[in-house]
Amino acid sequence: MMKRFANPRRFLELVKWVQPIAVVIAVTALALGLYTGLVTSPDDYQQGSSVRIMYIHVPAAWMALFIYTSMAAAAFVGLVWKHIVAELYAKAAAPLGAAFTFICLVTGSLWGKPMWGAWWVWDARLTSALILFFLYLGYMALVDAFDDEQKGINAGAFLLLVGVVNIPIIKFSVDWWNTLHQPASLTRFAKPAIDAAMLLPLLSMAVGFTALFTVLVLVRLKTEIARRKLKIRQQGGGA
Amino acid sequence: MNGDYFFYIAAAYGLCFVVLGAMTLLTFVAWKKVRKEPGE
Amino acid sequence: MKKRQRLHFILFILASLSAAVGLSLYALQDNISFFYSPMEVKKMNIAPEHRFRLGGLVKKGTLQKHKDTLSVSFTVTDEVQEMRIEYTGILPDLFREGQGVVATGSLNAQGVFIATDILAKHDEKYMPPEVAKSLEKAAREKKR
Repeated sequence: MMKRFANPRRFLELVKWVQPIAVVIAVTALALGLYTGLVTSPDDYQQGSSVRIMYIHVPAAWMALFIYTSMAAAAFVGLVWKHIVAELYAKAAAPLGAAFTFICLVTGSLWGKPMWGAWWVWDARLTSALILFFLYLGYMALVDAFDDEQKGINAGAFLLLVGVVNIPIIKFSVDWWNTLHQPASLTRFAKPAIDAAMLLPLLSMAVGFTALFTVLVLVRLKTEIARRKLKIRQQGGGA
Repeated sequence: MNGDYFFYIAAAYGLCFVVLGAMTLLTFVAWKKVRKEPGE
Repeated sequence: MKKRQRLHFILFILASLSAAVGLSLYALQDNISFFYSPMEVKKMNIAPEHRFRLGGLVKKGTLQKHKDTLSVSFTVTDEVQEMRIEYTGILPDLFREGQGVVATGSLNAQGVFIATDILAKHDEKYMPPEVAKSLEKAAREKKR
């Protein structure tokens, strides 16, 4: 038992100093993102003011993809090496990933209506993003469906690994097929297709979302670990 | 910023921060609860 | 030993799954596309009255607004082929010459696309109007 908790203990030590730093970064970056996004950044030459929706839509989409990928990677580590923090990570992160995907879908819809002329279309990008949302919900339901928590986590891990094929589909849908959604503005190899004055709120929000996610996922992991300990203590016969 | 698309922008930002706020609240409530339980 | 077995088992499942999904997507390519470009439409010989989506750029200088009605007609191009579109109704805010559109409708006997629905498609470039203006100016001077 001690060996199994060796890792969580080291993890909790790490959380102690990462968490306050992440809180400071989250508050600062979100405030900067909101101020520059809503007040100081310019209107777009084509889309006018509605471009401001991009500053939450795009970072939320990045988070949705990043969180799922990290959950699948952790599930893989958990399945193969039985690393307990990795096993619990996916469970802790799933509701946050679902929340960011939901934000991405709804803000996209609120942006699509005035610009494209439709709240929703079934093109490859939007459809694969909706599938990602259902994967998050399906994962949460599956993990909860088992009486034995460990069985739920293992079944969920398989679902996460299977669903990982959806991630490159979302990312490259706009390049592989004709879609209504436009291709990426920021790519690793090209100069950004976004003006610097618009890049600032976009990146501030992205940093803010990442830091907020870090804080929340750490607290959720602490909660899961504490719950696990309580359960083991109760099963061990007497608190 | 001009007033164009005010509804869409306000709805998007409002929804975004309501959802994130709710997630934050739920997360910390669950943490407080588990800390209060006996044995912890 | 057990660890290695689990690792190989999982990697094997993932590899076969990705191969299956990859092949299916490749096979379904045509169905996944949200619209066809004028070049693709001309190649496919689509029958009149068959509904599909046609997408491309609104060719500059081809937009005609009919007086007193909400009817418009314009040409879409993919830089190779072009097609004429007729449409009656309200256009999205972003609709303008030189920008992308996706129209739903069908061809009539004359080969004109009669649209019942028009969506605007925008590109991945974002900039303030002043920057756009100076870029345009620079491009014009370069041409000269």
